[in-house]
Amino acid sequence: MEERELIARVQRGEKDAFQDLMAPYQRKIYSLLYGMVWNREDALELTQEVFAKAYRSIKGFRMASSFYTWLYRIAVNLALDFRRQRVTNPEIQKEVDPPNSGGGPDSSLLRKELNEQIRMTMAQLPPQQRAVLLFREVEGLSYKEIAKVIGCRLGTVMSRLHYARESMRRALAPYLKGED
Amino acid sequence: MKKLLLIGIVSTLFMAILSSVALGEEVGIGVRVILASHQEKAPDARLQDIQKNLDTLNYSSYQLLQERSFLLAQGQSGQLPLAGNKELHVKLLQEQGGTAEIAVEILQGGKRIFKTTAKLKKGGTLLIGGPKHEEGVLILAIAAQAP
Amino acid sequence: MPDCSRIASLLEKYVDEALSQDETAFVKGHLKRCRRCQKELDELLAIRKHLQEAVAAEVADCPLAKIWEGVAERLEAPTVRERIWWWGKALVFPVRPLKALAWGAALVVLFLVTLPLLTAPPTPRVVVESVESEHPVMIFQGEGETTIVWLFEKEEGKEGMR
Repeated sequence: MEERELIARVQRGEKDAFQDLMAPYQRKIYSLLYGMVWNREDALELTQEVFAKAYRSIKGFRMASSFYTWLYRIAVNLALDFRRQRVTNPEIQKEVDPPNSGGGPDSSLLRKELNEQIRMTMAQLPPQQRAVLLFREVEGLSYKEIAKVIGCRLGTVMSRLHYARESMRRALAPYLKGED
Repeated sequence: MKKLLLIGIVSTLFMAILSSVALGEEVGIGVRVILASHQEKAPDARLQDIQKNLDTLNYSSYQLLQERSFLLAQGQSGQLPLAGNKELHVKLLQEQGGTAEIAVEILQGGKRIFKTTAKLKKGGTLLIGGPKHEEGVLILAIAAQAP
Repeated sequence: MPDCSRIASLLEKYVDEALSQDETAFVKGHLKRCRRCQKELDELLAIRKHLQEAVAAEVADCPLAKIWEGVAERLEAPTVRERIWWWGKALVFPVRPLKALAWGAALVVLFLVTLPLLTAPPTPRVVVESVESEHPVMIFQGEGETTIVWLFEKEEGKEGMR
């Protein structure tokens, strides 16, 4: 069933249509939110919040704009609010401590170490930079789409992306050297 | 025990007085002259530390044109020429308890067109913006630095 | 190579497919000849790949069914608006225990709201004390402990406000 038709049905109060409407976005929203908070339980909780909020506010959605932009905007705003509330959460701090691996030649250990380094670096990025980096590198949105979702200028998107990439480059430098 | 407590209190007071005197000596005032425009240019990495402050202004591009640090004692001022026949004067009025009170003036053709007095704590940034320059506007980022 | 400095500012846009055709051709041509810039490109692509893999590895076990359980619970719970409406009704509706509870809660909320007004607010890092200007001026708070003073320069030859 076409997306717009599903939206119209949900707007008329048909709850059953909501799950079908959200089906293509479940994993994407969860992936985005996981990238923002790097904690499975928090990502799950946030995903549920996003979907609940989307259902409650869908009557305000205008068909003229893009649904995924609208949905992503809800997701990123909730994620940013969540970070503001949980800035000193000890759970999150614990999650991003690097593992005490021997750093041996085993590639799966290296992979795990690399993932932990990525998690640690992402957690330290300013939330707005993290969001832009995820939208570009993981979700594949264009600069224009990111600007629409986050509600800022194109230049701001580009500068945040640049600084985020610089931070990642510095943090991952030892791992990138071996890829020549 | 009481003696130790007394020694501790006296030492703390002494250090507080010493530090306040030391801070009252000279204060570092950092000034950055920035060109803000709506052109799409690569971000200036030298402004990364204040990017969050600049983002409020919603320009697409910020380029650092000049950067100066003044070490000022009370009553001293520093000058910096600006584009468009303008000049910036920064004067330290007083320093107390980690807060620097400064007077900032912008002159054009020798005539004062703007003056502000402000109190700056370390970590705070005062942005003065608006004077037109080339394809954008000038923004002066003024901050009190650690001695 | 003199081109490398220009390439450096274009490489991210190249990776994001945000260049014009001419610029893309220029970058491609340079990359064929320059190992250093090619290495920079490889690093950007590697960052993308590693980030995607790091997220994908964690998301692979995404418990999709659990999402909907939680959503259903949230939709059944009253919203903030509904709660406010219930408390509002309780304040005027003549049911004694409920009314007493509602009034008690309202007083607690009132106290908590006025408490910050009674205690001293934190001192901001920048306090503008005075402004004198030939041009109209606006003062406002920005993000990150910033105070902004904005001059609205008049065009030359025109009289302005004080």
